[in-house]
Amino acid sequence: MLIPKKVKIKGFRGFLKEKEFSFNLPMILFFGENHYGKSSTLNAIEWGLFGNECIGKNTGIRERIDWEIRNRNLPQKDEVWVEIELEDENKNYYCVSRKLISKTKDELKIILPDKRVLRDEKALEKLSQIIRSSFRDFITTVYQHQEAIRAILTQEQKDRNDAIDRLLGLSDYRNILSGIKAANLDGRQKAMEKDLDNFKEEIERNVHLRERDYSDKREEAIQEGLKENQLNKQGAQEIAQSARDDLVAFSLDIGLSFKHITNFENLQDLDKFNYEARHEISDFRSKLPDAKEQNELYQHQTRINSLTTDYEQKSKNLKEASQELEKCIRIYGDTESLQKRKTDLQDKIIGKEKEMKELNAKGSTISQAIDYLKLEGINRNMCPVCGKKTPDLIKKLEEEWDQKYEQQIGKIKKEIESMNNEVKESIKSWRKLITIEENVSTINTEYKNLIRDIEQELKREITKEDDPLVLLNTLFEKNKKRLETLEKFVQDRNGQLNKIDVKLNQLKTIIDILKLEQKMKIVEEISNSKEYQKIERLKDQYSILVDKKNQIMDAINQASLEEAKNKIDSAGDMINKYFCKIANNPAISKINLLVDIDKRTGKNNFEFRDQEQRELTPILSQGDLNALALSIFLSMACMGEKDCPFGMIMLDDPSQSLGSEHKKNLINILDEVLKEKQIILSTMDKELQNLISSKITKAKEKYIFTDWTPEKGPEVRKE
Amino acid sequence: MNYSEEVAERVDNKDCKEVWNEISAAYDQDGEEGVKSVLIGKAEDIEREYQEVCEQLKQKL
Repeated sequence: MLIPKKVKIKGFRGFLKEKEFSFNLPMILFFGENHYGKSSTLNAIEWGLFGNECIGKNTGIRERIDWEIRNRNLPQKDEVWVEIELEDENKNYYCVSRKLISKTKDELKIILPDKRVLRDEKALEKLSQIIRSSFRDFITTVYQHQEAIRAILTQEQKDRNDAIDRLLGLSDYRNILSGIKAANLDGRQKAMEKDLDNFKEEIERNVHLRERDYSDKREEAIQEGLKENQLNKQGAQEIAQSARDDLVAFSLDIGLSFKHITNFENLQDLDKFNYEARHEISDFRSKLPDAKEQNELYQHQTRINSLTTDYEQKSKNLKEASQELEKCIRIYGDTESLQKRKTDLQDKIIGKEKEMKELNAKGSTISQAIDYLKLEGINRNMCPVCGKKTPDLIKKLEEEWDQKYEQQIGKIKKEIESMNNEVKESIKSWRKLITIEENVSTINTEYKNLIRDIEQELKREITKEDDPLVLLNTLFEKNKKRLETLEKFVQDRNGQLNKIDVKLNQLKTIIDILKLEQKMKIVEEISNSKEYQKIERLKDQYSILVDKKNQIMDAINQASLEEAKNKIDSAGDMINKYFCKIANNPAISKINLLVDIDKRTGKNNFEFRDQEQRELTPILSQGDLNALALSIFLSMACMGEKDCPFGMIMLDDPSQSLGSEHKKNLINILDEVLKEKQIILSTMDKELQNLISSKITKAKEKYIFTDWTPEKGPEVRKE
Repeated sequence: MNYSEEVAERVDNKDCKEVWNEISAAYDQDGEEGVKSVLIGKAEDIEREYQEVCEQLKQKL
């Protein structure tokens, strides 16, 4: 049997630097606080032997999902590896070395007793031969995980059943059942069947709807005047024929060309005929000659109305503008006389301005003469210009200046101002007259244009002797009479076309009935179609698949149950022995582990009964359940002793819920186990450690885990 | 006998045995997810064909 003699670890989980453990004595103890690296050491042995098999959901160990092998604090360049030296019963040494090369891959190397080195596939093959054990066997009979005990301590029967299955090495059955259940074939089958049922309902609904539509349509046909015996293809063809004959006759009658539609053999042709014939009717309606003339006359009448209104308005405007012009001429005269008056006034102003200028010049001479005569030494009685002697000349000159020039100039200024005002008034009146004349001219032009339009509409010249209003009215009345005649003609033609339209409506109704018949036939045929039969076959195929799945599940449950029963049969006494010794419960002198199928889940259901077959579960304490888990594990480990290739068991924190008495009892059992097997035990329980030191009769090798830091990993001291 | 042989021994039907072999091979390779994928794959094959035929019939309808 194989036992580990030496384990070297580097970079694996809690480890950083290389550490070496030698297992030379029967009892190996790892003691230390939580998270100091004890479990990592046990895990390293497991990973060294089984690699990726011990990682992931399939292990049945929850913490193994997303389990990281490489220590996060390890420098990138450093390697991760585990080396285990195994010794067999013949003292042959095998060195198993596993190195991590990526997150999910590793390299295996084995050095054989003859020093040959095997790698990869060959190494894997050799390792299988040496350890002759699956990972599942290993965790059932060699390595008791913490979780194996934690799981059995649960209050949930279902979870406890899972845990016991695992302890009995039946996890694969459980896992496969979970995988099958997760595929949810029953749910999917139900969904498909529901979909198919819905589809069938839809077909039925459709049949019902179409039957109703068909019945409604037939009723509608009767109301339209059709007879029962016409509601078929022949009836449709006869109506189509009749409608076509009417259309031909109509087109000949009114002299319009007609696209002859002759073929209406099948339903599609009939439908096409109906559509085209309706189109032709619509075309005829718009092209009827009488209707065309009628339309033109309506437009003519509209124009006459418009011209009449325009004429009335324009005549009125022209009359009013002419009257205003005449009134202005009466008041101001015409533009010519106003122009002449303005010119005369301007000439008079020029004359007056000249007269004033002469007076100013003469006045200035007199004023200068007065100033001269007032100078010293000048003879004041002699004219300085002509030399004539005049007594009191200055006085006479000053009187003449005041009376004559001043007064005359003032008078002329007033006259000029008055004439300027008259000129301004003349210009204003002239402008007003010009504006009115322009307005009259514009209205007159419009009037003439209107007369031209009327001439065009009347198709004759209008002389001064004519009254356009009367002429327009006469034409309007004439057109009105013609329109009355045309309306009757058009009404008659439309009546003819309406009759054909009625036939086409009847034809349409029969076509709809025939189409509904076809649709009903299609829907009715669906149930007998190849596709429908295929759907039924697929449904059966699904049922067969689900049946197979159910048979397989039954077989799995049966195999799992039988294997559980066999194991319990074989290990039952040992479980009872170990349990009674560890638990030492005075109420329980015997524990019977029973297994049956849970009718609801189909999985194994375990029960614990006492010596009188009473249900024990309600009275088992956490310590008892812990003892039960250990009993099952130790029994499985010892029971398979002959077949098991390993000469050791590994216990990780076995005393989780055990009281002092339980612990003492466990130590006694372990002392017994040590006669056959090496024990590697990890614990943080000081009491258990002391018991091991004081009660275990075999030699011990102790590793004390004193500390753990991210930088260094575990600090381990050997005692 | 391992679990696969134990179950195979209890499955009578030949077709059923074939499905079981597929399931156990998928489990050995990819675990629970593998089992789930094998069965869903088989179901989806039928479902796909069903949907296609159904679609054809719905168009007729």
